[in-house]
Amino acid sequence: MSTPQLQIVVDEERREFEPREEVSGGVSWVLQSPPDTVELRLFWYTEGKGTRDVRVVETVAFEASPEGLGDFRIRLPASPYSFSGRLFSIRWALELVAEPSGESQRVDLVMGPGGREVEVHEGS
Amino acid sequence: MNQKSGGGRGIFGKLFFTLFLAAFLGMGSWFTYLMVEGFVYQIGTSLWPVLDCTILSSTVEENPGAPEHEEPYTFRVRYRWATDFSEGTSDVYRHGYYGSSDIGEALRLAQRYPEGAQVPCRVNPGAPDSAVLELASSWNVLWIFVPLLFVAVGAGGIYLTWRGPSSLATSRLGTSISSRVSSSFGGAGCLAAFFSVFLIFGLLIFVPFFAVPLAQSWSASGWAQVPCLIEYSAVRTHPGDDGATYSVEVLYSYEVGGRQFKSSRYDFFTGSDSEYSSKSEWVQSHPEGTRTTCYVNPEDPLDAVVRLGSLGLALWGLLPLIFVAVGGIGVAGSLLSLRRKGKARARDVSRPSDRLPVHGTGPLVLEAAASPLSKLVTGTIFALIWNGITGIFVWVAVTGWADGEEMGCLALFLIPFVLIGLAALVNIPYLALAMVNPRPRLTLDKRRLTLGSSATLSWRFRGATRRLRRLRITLEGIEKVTYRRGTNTRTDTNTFATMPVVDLPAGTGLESGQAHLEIPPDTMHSFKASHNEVVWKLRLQGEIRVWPDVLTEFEVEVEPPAR
Amino acid sequence: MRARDNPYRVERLHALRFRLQGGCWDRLWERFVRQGRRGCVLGPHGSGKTTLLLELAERLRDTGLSVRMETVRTGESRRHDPRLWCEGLGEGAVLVVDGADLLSPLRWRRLVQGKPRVAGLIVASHTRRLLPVLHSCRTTADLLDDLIRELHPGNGCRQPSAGDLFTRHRGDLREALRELYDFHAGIRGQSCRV
Repeated sequence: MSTPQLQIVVDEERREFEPREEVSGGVSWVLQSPPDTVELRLFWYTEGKGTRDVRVVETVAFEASPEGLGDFRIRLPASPYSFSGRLFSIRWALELVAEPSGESQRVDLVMGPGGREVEVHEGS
Repeated sequence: MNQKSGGGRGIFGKLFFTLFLAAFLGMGSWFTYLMVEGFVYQIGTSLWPVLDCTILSSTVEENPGAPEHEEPYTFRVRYRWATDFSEGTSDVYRHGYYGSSDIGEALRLAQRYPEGAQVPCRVNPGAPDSAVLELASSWNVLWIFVPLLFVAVGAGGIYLTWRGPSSLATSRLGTSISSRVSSSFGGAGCLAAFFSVFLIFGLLIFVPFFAVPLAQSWSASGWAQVPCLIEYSAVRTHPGDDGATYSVEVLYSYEVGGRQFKSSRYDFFTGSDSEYSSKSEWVQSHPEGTRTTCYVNPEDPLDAVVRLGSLGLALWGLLPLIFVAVGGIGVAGSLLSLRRKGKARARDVSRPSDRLPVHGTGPLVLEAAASPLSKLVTGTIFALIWNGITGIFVWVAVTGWADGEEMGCLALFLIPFVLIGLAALVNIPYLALAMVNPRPRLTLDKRRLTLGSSATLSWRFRGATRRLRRLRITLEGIEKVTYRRGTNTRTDTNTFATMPVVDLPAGTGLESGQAHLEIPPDTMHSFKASHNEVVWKLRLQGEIRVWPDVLTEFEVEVEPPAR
Repeated sequence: MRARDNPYRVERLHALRFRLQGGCWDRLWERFVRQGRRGCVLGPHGSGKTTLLLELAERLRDTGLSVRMETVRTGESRRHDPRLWCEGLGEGAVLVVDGADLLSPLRWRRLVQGKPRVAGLIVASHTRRLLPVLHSCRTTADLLDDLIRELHPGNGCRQPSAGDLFTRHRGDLREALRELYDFHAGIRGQSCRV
C-alpha cells in the first residue's frame, strides 16, 4: 500500500491575497484507509508567545473516498489580516484534512492589504 | 513589555489562608454535628408508634423573675396511654421543650391539651416510659444549611488553596492545526459562596429579629386598646462574655369578653440588648399593680402586647442590614462576573469585539463610566461599612484581651479583614484628591474608526482646568497574549504603536479643543481571540503639579476598511 | 523579530521531545507494566510533565495501543467526568490525563479506583495521589542548554547562558525559555538579529 498523500494546489501557486479576494485551486488525496470525511479548511491561527488560537472560517467537504480529486473556490473574509508583532503572529492557511486518521496537508497564505502581512515592531 | 502572572501563592500565604478558612470549617463542623445529633434523635422519635392518650393534668406554671437559665412560663402536662399489653404515663410535651418567655405560648398549649382530652401521643417501643405529645418542627432541619455553608466555604477554600492549579495545553506541531480549538474560562463561584455567608447571616438576623417584629408592631397599632393590670415587671439581666444585656420582663392581665387573660409580651422584639436606662425607666413607671393600656389582637385574645417597640431598637436592625448589603452586593457582583465570563466564552473568537457601540451614526462620546465623586462616595461607603463591621469584632477582641481572655484565634481571623479595611481607608484621601481633578470628556466625530481613516477628536474638561500643567493624548496599539500551559496563566502586553494626538503645555487652552486623529493604513486593526489580542486605546494624561494626575484610557475599535 | 520567526515561540517549545534522563524508554515501559499499567508522572512547574505525557501517548500509539489523552484545565474540572473518558474505549486502551490534580477528589477516586474499563492509566500531577510513580521529572542546566541548542542552533548573538537562566528561574525550563523569547523579540530593549 502506498503512503498517504494529500495535496493542495492553489491556482497560479499564489500565496498572497487581498482581503475578500477569492482563493481557488484543486486538491487530491490518496489514503491508506477509507476516510469518514475529507475536508479543505480555510482558517487562521496564531503563533508566538501566547497559547495558540485557531479559527476555521470556511470548510469545503469532498467525497469521502480513499482516493480523490476536487476543486475549491473560497472567498476570503475582510479580517483578520495576516499580522506579526513581537508577541504574536496571525497566519492564514488552507488545510486538507482526512478524518478520522487526521492526516493533513497545509498551505500557508498571506492575507492583507497589498497581499502583505501587517508587521508592527515598536517594543516597550 | 508588561507581564502579569496568575500563578499560585507561596506556602506562607497558603498557610495563612488555611488558618483563616479553618475557623469557618471548625465552627461550621461543630454546629453541624450538634444539629445532626438532634435531627437523628428527632427522626427516631417520629418512628415511634402513635397511641391514644388521656390528659391527666394540664397547667401553666408561672415563675416570673426566674433565674437566667430557666424559662418563666412552662406548660406542665401529664398524660396516660394504654394498650392491651401495657400502659404508662409521661409528662413530656415535646423533646427540647423547657418552657417559654411568653406566657401566651404556654396558655395556648394548655388550651390545646385540656384535662381529660383524648389526644394522640408517640410512645417509645424500646422504653415505654418515654413518650411525647408532639414532634419538633421538621422545618428546623433547614437551619442545618447555615453551618453547612460555613463548612462549604471553609473546606472548599482550603481545597482550592492547596490543590495544584494547572493548565496544560496539548498542542504539538506536525498534525492538523485546524482540528484544534481553544477555549478558556474561569469561575467566580467561590467568591459568590463567600459573600453568600454574609448575606444569609444578615438575613437570618434581620428578618426574624427586626423585619418581622417591625411588621407585627405596625399591625398591632390597629388592635383593640384594653385596660390591663401589671402583675410583675423587672429588668432582666443576661450576663455575657462581652458584658451584660437587658430585657424587660413583664406579666399583665386583662379582660376580653368577660374572660380573664394573661400575657407576658413586652414588645415584639425578642432578645436583649445592652441599653439599660429606657428599660429601667419603663419598669419603674410600671410597677406591680399599675393599671395601663395594652394592645390585644381581636382575633386571638391571648395575643397581646404592652408596648409597640421603639425606634432605637429598630435602628439596631440596620446592623444586620449592613451584612445583607455587603453580602448581596458581593453575590450579585460575583454572579455578574460569572455571567460575563460565560458570555465571553460563548462568543465567537473571530467576531469583532463589541466593547464600544460602533454601530449607528453621529459622534462617539467617550467618558469615564464612574465620576470621581461617585468613586469617592462608593469608596467611602465601602470603607465605612467594612470598617464598621470589622470594628465591632476588633472591639470585642480588644476588650476581651484587656479582660485577660484568650483572643488569639479571633485576632488571627480578623487580620485580613482589618488589612482590607485599612487599604479602603488609605484609598479615600487619594479618591478625594482625584475628585477635584478636572474631568475629561472626549468626542470622536465618527463612530467607526478604520485603518487609513481620520477623525476629529474633541476634548472638554469640566472642573478646575487651570491646574492642568500639560495635556497629552496618545493613541496606542497594544498586542496582548495569554499563555496557558502548566500551572500558571501568564499575560504579556507590548505596545507596538504610540501616536501623539495632543501634547499641549499650560496656557494654551487646555480646557477644550480639537485635534486631528489619523489611523495609519499600514497597521493592524483591533483583533480579539481567546489568548491573543490587538487593542487600541486613547490614553489621556493631564499633569497636575503635586497632585494625582488625570489619567484615563478609552478603548476604541479600529476596523479594517470597508473596501 | 517577528513573533512567527522567534525560535522560542510556543509552538516550537511544544514540539520539543522529552529527554528521558538516566534511563531508557524500554525501562519506563517495563515499570509501567510492572505497576499494573498505572502510573503518575510527577514534577514541579516547567519540568516537562506535559511533554513526557505527549511523548508517552505517541509511543503507546506506535505500539498499536489505543490512547485517549485528556487535559483538565483550571476552572474546567467540573466538566470532566472520568466515566465518560472511558466510554467508547476498547479494553486495551490507555487513558492519559494531564492536570489530574485539578480533578475533584470524588472524580479522582472514580478515575483511580473506580474500575475504569481501560487497560492503562497515566496521569501528570504535581503531587503523588494514590498512584505509583512512573517517572519523576527533574531539570538541570545541561538539559536547558540542550533544549536551547535544539531550538536555536548556532545562534550568533550573546543571549543569556543556560546556567544563568536555570538559576534565575529555579529550574523552571518553561520560564527560562520564555525569557529567551523576550530576548529575541527585542523586548526589554534587547535585540538579536540572526
